[in-house]
Amino acid sequence: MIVLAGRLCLALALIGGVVTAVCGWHAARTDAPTPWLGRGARLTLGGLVGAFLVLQYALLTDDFAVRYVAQHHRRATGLLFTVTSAWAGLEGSLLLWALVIAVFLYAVSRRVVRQPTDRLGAGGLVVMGVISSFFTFLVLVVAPTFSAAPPRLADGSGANPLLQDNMLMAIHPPLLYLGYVGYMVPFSFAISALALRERGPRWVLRTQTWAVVAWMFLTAGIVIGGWWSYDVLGWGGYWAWDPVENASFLPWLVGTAYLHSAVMQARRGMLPAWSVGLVISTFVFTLLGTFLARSGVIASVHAFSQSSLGPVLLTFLIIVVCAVTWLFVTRLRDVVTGPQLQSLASREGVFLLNNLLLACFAVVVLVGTTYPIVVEAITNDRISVGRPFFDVFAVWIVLALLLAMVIGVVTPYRKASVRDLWQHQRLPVQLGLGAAAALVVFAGLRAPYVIVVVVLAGAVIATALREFALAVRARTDHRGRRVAAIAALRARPSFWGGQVAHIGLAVITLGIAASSNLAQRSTITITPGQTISASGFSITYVQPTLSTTDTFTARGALLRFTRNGNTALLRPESRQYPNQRQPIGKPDIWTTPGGDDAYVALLGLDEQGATLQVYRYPWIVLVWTGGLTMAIGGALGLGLRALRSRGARRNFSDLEPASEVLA
Amino acid sequence: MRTLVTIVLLATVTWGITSGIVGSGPTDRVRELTGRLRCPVCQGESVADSPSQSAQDIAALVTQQVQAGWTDGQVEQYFVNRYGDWILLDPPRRGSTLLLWAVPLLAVTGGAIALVSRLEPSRRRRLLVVGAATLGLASTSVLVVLGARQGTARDPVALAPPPDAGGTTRDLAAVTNAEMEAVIAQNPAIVGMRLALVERYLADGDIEDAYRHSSIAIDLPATDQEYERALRLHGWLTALQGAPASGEQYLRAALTLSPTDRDALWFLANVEFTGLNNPAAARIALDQLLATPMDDAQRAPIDALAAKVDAAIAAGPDTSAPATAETAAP
Repeated sequence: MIVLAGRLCLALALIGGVVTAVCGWHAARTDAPTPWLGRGARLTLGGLVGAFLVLQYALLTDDFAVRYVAQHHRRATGLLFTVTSAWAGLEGSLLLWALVIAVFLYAVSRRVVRQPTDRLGAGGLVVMGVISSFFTFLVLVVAPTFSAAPPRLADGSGANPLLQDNMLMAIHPPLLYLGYVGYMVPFSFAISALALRERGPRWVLRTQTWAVVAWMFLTAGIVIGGWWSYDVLGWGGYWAWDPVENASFLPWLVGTAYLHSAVMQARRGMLPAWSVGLVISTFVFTLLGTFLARSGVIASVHAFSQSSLGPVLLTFLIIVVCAVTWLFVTRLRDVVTGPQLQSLASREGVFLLNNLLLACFAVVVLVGTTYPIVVEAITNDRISVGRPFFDVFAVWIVLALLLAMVIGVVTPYRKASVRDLWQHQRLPVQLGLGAAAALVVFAGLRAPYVIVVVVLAGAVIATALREFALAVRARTDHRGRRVAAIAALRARPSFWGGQVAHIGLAVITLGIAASSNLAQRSTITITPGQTISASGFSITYVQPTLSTTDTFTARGALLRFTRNGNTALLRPESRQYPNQRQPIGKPDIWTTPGGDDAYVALLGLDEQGATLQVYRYPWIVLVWTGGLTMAIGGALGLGLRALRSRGARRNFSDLEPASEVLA
Repeated sequence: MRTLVTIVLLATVTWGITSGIVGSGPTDRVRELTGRLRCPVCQGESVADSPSQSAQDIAALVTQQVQAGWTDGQVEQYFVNRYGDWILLDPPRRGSTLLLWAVPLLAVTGGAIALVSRLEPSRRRRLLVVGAATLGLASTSVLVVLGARQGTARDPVALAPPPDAGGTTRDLAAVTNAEMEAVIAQNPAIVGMRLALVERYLADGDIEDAYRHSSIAIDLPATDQEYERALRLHGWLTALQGAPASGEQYLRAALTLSPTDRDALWFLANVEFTGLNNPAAARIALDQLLATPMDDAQRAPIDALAAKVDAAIAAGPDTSAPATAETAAP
């Protein structure tokens, strides 16, 4: 019954997607809008919302007649993790994915159908309708979310305990999906513009908001994922260059490059083809990530012929790549009309440098992630590409990016002189140098990479703050500073959003450099009552602990950590879940007032004592705060722009001059 | 005055960096080496990062080797001999792997050329020189860094390879079980060999000997595939030894590693049906098994069991379990 209801909803959504695509095609070709375009989008959204609610209903009512429920839910699970188990499994996560697609499709369609003729928008809806139909088809037929389980199953097997441990299960996957899917909108409009042979940056302008929304969610999702990994997985890190992590980082890199190239295209009309290429790559990388994460190809190339989803996704990926490449190549002549670069020492030059660096970073990550898969497929040799490979490149690229941020923000368009630039940027550079010099002299900092990062990141932060101070001062009159600050912000919304994001990136870089280069690590064995100094902490083993919850039994060690007069109690545990053979370690973390993290994981525990891994990570908290600052930067830019357009709403907001929209 | 401030600050920072480079004490070689080795049972973590038991064992081994005066190259070679190139997170820069390093450098070059070609022709020539110089400098420094790392990482002195049963060239079919026992006794940590012996004993119906080895094998450091194979075999043997509930747990653990492992699904279906009297769960496993590609000969025993399972489901929950276990694996 439930299975039937779910399938019915999905079938309606599939019909809605097809209707949207067909009517969009008709509207884009004939310029004659039809009410069925909007109806199709509404049907898609309604069907997928319905399917998602049906799944939630089945989970909440413990309906083990649904196979997905039987496999990913058990009766004892609490409310929150019952709700989140809707995306804890392959089929459910695909359903959420399809739902997010439908939300974006519907939101875009509202704007399109309101206008009398909108060929570009209708073309975009064709692409989105096709994508939506494909993913609905996946959850309806290929990896069915709704299929019947054998009758009279007493209880299900439950989701992976790691996915039932942390509130972030409710936040991290939806955020990432919003980010991934959000890039579908610029992609669809770019394809539409190519297909309709439309010159100019109109597709960029119309999807600017969506690109920032997607970027913001993707940034937040990745950073929160890193924090989750640090908090839960017990290996003491937050980023392992794991293929699935890389698959989320690739669209971020290319999407970030696109945010910058879009400014170039809108303001100077430069690099139209490059922008299209970036947007296309972002979407293709999103599909690649879906394929890598869901086909089982990562564990072994040879496993994926057994998965029914892998070949379908791969086929779709190949079709998309071929179709888009064909379109891109055949229509390239129609879009390429950019002016030439006058000088590398110009805003355009630095933007290009930024794009080059981000694109190279993406190439490094792409090659490193796919190389083992390709080599194993061809030669049957198994090789690994891990942290050492990625780090070699990441270190240099990140330093160059920071340098570009110091220079680029204040470089004028067209042509700049090095002399003026130095005049303008001397103060921020001096502040960065000063911060590093102070740390060298007073804190005894000697790690070369950290010192260089402090100089550059300090200069980036100082540049942003100083630009703001200058802008406020220029506008200050009798109404006071506050009015001037608000006026300055509203004058260039995206610029200030970008500056906050730059500060966030600088802060992250500081956190990464310090926590990895200055970390102290030790493994100790400690007996009850004993006090040991390790990794810069004084550690006392108070007592072993034993606790039981609904879902697991935990054996732990209660420890007192002391550093610089501050004390905290920490309790790393080893948790035994009923459906797992091996216990799962749960580390404990203490952020000291001095900004250092104490990170302790339990390696072994018996009557004699506890074996502990004790890490001290200086400044690691900056990684999370910087990451959230970046996302807030995106939100700030969007918010300021919404404020301004509310102030001056026009009939055709599409026609806002580029220079104001993207200043 | 301003210039003076800049110079003083720059000098302080430079002094900090150079004294950091020059004055860095002896590095933690064990940490460095284990950072380059892949933890065999984890998802792409290094031995240094992983808290798992096998990673700790490998770290202890590396500590011993470093104390015994082995070079970095010898330590890496030891693990490459045991696990293959796969164990190195930093893939060796030779053969096909050179491409891995060349592609990013080519991308930088291509990008720089594209950048220059966007310039107005009059400025192109001057910036071409500057750009080429910068590029040359950058790639040289990358190469120097790589070269320096390679120099420390790889020692030309070849190590006599440690005893390794993986490289045996004899036809294994001709080896007797007793011979294999002897080889395993000499190389207790080689899990693949031990599992092969478990399968032989299982085929011979010698459950006790098979169980003895499978219970050792599941605690040995192993690749994901080997660990999964060990879990699958040990789960089945545990069930045959009369403990179907814990056998089921091992099999489910194997299936979380490899959800479509047909042998594990077949074992699980039998354990659920015969051992645990849970035909519904057996039916789920059979459904998953039937979803995998197979020919008719393979399908026959599965369909036969499925018929029994369905009969049991239809008869209701109180049907007593059939007396003997199905032992034929597809």
